[in-house]
Amino acid sequence: MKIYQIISILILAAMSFISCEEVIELDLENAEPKLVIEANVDVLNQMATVFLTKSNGFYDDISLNVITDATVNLTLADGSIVNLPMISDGFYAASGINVVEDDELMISVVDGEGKVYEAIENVPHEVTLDSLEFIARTVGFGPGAGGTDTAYQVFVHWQDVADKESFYRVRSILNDTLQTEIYYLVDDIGLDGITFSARLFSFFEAGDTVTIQILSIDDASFRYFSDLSGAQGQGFGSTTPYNPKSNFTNNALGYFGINRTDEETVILQ
Amino acid sequence: MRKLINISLLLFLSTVTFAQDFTLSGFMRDAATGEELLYATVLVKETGQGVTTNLYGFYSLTLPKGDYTFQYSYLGMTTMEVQIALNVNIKQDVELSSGGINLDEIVIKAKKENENLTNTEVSTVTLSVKDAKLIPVLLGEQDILKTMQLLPGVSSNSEGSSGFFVRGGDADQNLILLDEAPIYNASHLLGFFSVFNSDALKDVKLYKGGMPAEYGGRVSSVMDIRMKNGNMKEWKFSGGVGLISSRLTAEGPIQKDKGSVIISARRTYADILARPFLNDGFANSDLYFYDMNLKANYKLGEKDRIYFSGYVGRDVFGADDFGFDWGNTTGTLRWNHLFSDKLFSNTTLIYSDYDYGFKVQAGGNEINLSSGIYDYNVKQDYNWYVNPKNSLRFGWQGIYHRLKPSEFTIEGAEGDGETLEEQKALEGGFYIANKQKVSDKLSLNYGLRLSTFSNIGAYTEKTYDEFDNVLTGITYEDGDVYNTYYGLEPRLNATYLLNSVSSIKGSYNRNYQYLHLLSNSSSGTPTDLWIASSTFVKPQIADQVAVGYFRNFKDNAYEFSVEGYYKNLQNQVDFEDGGSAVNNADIESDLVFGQGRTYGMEFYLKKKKGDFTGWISYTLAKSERQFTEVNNNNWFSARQDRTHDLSIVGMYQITPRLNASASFVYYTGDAVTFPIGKYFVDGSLVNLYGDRNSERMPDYHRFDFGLTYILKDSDKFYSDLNLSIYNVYNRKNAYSINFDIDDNGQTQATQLALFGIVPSLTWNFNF
Repeated sequence: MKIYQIISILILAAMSFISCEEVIELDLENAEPKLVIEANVDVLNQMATVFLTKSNGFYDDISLNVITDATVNLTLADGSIVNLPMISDGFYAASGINVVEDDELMISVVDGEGKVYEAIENVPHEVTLDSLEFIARTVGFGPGAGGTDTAYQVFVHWQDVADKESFYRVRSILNDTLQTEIYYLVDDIGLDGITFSARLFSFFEAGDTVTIQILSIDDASFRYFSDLSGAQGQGFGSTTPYNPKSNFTNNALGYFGINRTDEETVILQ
Repeated sequence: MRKLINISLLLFLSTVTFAQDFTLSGFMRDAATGEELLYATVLVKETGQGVTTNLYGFYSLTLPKGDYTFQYSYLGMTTMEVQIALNVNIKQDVELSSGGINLDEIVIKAKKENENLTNTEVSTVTLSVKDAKLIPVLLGEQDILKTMQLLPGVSSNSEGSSGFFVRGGDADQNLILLDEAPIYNASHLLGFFSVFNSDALKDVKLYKGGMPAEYGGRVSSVMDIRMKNGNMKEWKFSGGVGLISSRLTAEGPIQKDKGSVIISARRTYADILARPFLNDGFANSDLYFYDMNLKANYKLGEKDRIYFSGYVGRDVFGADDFGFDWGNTTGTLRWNHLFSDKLFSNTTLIYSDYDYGFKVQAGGNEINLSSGIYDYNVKQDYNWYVNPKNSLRFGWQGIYHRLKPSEFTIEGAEGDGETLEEQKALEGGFYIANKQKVSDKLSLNYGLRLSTFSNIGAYTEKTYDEFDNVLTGITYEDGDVYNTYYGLEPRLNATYLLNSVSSIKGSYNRNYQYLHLLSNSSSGTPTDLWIASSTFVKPQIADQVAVGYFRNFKDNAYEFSVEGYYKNLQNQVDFEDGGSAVNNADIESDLVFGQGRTYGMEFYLKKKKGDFTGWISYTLAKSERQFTEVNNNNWFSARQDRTHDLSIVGMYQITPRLNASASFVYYTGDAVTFPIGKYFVDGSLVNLYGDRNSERMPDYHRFDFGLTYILKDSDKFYSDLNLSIYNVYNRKNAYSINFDIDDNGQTQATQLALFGIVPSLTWNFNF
């Protein structure tokens, strides 16, 4: 719960009648383009995917600078190496990746200039989604928004695996679109073995097709996404901005994560 | 044997004969109001020796038997000469009167005009409340803290904010005392106004370095604010009506010349005025603050006097669906006692708290959050006027701190609410200090303070692994005292008078600080969190050296000073990346510890006499921090690292009724962390940030203008009209800068400027 953000929104709203916002030209330092690696192993679907891009200068156009000349390999626990060929621009993938819990996997990316980026992770345990609970809410938050529309919020219930370190990420797919901005992260520190009831801060409407995914993930990608959600705050009341910590070597941006997913789809009436 | 006794008797007698010293002591007061005068001077004309009154207006001088002429003087008052044949101990209370009521004379008629050269105070700023009232300010709301920020070495927080930084230190390193009670959050309305109502204040003194040993607990500065005692002679009323606030003060005798009382209150009504312009959602909104100062004192006899002072202030901010309020409460009970005409004692009991509460309706749930800090303080101070060359101060202090980090509840959801464990601690201080006049040229003020700090149970102290997981927890029972720190804090000030118009001064101080303010935001919000030192969090330590050259020109019409300082800071505390102050049960695991260094040069030129008065203050400085976990252990600029900080203040007496004033400020933009690139992760655009605080906000500058016109000025009634224009040329100074995507898909930087040009009108009166 981002109390600060709520406070800042309210305060800024109240101050807005005297304040003034304008776009300014800042002389920002332009960083060297850096490699961004999004590497995932989806245990359930036996898929390994890697998406390679480069960062842009802040004032450059928004475009995906995909990397098409890289070599991507996944080393499995038994030492065998699986090559991930490029399927589409910047997108490297291989299927039939068969791994079990605690397997140590290493991903390596060699870019066109021969620079090597590596990350190592262990396969997390399985997770089973117990049930979903949709609760009708009257939408309306804060000043000026007191509406009367009904929307649905979802509570996701699942059982933590006892005696194991667990890291979870809950997200939703709304009418075939993955909701990347809103997700829920929780670990089981101090909560080992409990039944989790997590509320997703998304609102759904009647008629929506909603898929809720619960992902059991490795600790490095858990921390990466925690950082990511906390790091990008801006303006009044936010933390000092920083770059999320990557588990890749050689100062690459991004992460290597392994997930085991369970999901359930509901059509809201 | 008998011979021996005779000799010793003779020796004893001769000692008595030679030591025929007598003491002149008493209080100095304002003849009009009976207010005690602090830091007023008593000078022996024949010998040039002198003392200043203490914080209660008391002085004491011990001299050999003889006839003397004593000069009693105080800034803005007519000096009084008294001839006294000192052949017994004499108690002489003195009342000085103002030479006139015209404002210019208050500034000019200081008799001991080279006080700035001769006192032992280096790195010290004294501000008269009357002076501050002429300077134009935001929305016409007079503010002593704002005026302080126009002086060298003191820089302001964000736009309009009352928080301040002294010599590159952090905002929490300033000890702010209101009648000896610490104020933990000195700002109203998120920092646009300070909690100090000028009407109730008598005197403000800021120590930027070389703090006297009686002060402890913060490493960068001490601001000692004293409230008025109240008029001893007759009932007086004063007040002001402004565009956003009004204030009223009543003061008068409980019993003439025996006791008096003053009560002062103000409230803003911006919300009431703004309501018609707000949309429906804000129709029931509240946005105001109020505060109230109360002080009463009574003389129990010749030797005893008691004082009570209290302050209550609250900010309230709310609408239909949410409420947010915060504020300070303090109470000080003091007993002055004269053991003899040389030994003055003050016993003080202090209560002080700061807390906030926050409530919001979200998604059908009610979220409540509250936090607070509560202090119970006992203090004993002695002033011993040993002889005209030495005056000794000593005493002790004990503070019981209760820190309630947060109580967090969400109705309608399980498991999300949490109450963090309260921290309790005992802070102690013992000090001894001496002000010594070594020769006509050399004066010293030196002392030693021993501070202690102990945590007190019940508390569970945790240790963490590198990923912030809890490893162990040691549980202390209720009342267990554990983890005690000691700090030895030497303090030294020296003044060497080169000639009658110039002096050099030097100081060294070491200070310990046991409480730390954790702030997520850069601008300081009411939700910033105070935490106590613990096994994990070490006390902050500062060592500072400062040297200065002071010179007066043209018969003391001009004052010039230049000071250089170097401050070393140990055990600095900050959040690691992403650390949060709100509802964080393992907050200690989110902290990083490092060091800091600040250094700079301060230039100050002041014109004190004539129709035109004012000053120029310029500071060239650097303030840096180093944390292992941040910027690969490289030194980086602290946010308040202002390379250049310039203030120009001018006041001009156009006619006896009309006074104009203007001020200009310029400073280097704050050091901040900005994006230097962007990339996509998980389908979202993410900013790539540069090193911590490696970029700068745009430079800040602003020009203010004010006019004061006296409508009526008679013995019975006084009133004036004050027009102030804040930010005359409508400079859009950046309060914050956001980075986002515009409608065309381009990344852009958007700055928020809080105040454009803000004119305001205030009517002030007293009768």
